[in-house]
Amino acid sequence: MEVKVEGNEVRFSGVLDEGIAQDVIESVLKEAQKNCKDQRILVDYSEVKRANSCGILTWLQVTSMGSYPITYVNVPVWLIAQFNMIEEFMMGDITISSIQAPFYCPDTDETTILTLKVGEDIPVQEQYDDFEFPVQTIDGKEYEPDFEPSDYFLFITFNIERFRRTA
Amino acid sequence: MTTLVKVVLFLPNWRPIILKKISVVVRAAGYEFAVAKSSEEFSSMLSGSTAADYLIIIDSNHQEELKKFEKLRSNFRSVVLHNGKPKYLIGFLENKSTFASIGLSEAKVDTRDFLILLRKAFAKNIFGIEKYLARDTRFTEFVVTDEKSRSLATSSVFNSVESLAGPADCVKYRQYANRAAEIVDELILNAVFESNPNLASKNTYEPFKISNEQSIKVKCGYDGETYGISVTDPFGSLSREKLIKCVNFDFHKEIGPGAGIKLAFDRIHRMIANVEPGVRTEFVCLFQFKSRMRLFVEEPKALQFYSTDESKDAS
Repeated sequence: MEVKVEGNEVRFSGVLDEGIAQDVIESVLKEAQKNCKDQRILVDYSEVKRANSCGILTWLQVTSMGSYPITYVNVPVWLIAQFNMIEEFMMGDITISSIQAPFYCPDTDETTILTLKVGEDIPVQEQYDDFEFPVQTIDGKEYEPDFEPSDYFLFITFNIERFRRTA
Repeated sequence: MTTLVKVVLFLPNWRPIILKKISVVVRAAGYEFAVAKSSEEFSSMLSGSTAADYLIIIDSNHQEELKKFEKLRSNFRSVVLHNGKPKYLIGFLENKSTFASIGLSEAKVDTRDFLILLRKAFAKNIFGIEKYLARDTRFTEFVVTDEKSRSLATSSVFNSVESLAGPADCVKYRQYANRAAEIVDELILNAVFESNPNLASKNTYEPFKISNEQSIKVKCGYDGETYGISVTDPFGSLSREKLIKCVNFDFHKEIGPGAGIKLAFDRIHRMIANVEPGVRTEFVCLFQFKSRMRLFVEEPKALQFYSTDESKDAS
């Protein structure tokens, strides 16, 4: 996996697996933290294709200790599934600013990925059982959400107080 | 010596169309069968001759009946069906007789899968992903002995799924390709580090190199409807209890051994574990691409466990 640090932004690309060492993660987060003064470290995994349990474990061993104020941006679909399954992702000083989500156009059978801002495009609420995500019109095509909000936004439901504070 | 097999369906309140589909498949498998409409009828059917082996196909709400029957006789096997809400129920595999827990939604019975399940129920010939895909499916095979060959297998699986995309499907098939690669990766890691007694003390993020005798075999193929992945190790250390523990893995408590199997199971529709104890374990993972990711994610799951220790030749 490759990593770029620009100011307080840390951008990963490739595959998150056992190839990334814990000390590498710590050093990039430390560097971003030095750059960001009072700001949070923005972590962008949108260019990472996928992860395995080894890479996830290594990442969580660093971030769940709470030493780094991290805000995830542009969270990819595969990582949302991890957020919803693994509680440790939200342990520590963690917030989520924006996520990616699949949308589907029934007329053209196309799927697209859109970036949604938490607190703006996604209202912060305790549960999403009755919530209907609006259709998005892009280039004249209507895209429906290709996910179940009550499942996809579980990470918000489970951490509602935190999201209310930061929204 | 072959033994008569009798199939008993106990699916009260299930839609007649599902009973009909299952009945057709049971007849196609060449088994005698009967449908019990009540608990009394069910008990009465099974209290007959002990000459036959029984295969019980039962609704998940009637586990007590199954437990009662397990106390009375041992020459039977069972399949538990549930309505897909929740997506999967694996507690039933704790019953010694149960080798499959299958979620069905609406009236969808995969008849080919069911036929294979019936044939494998009492057979020693339980291995092979080929059983689950169309006859002329072309498979790609990999032998994993180190990080390089593991990376090759994973990236090849990714590319093989991504290449199925038409111009409008790129985004969707990339998501599927990610899933397929994640599955292969996790199963290989499990085969290398969890199943191999020689590497039990090694951390999964350390590089590995294993001999050809200890190598992991990976196979994948797509028959136009179902995509299949199999990963086979030459150790045969998987047990029913271990499988249940892995699939029940609770990420809220820890991350560690078993996490990989859980992650793989979370990403597929059907997982079949075939074991020859002390010799080999094969995980077969199957899924079907859907036009919408949401439909893919919501599809009910099936988990099956076969061990040559639990099977015998029958017809």
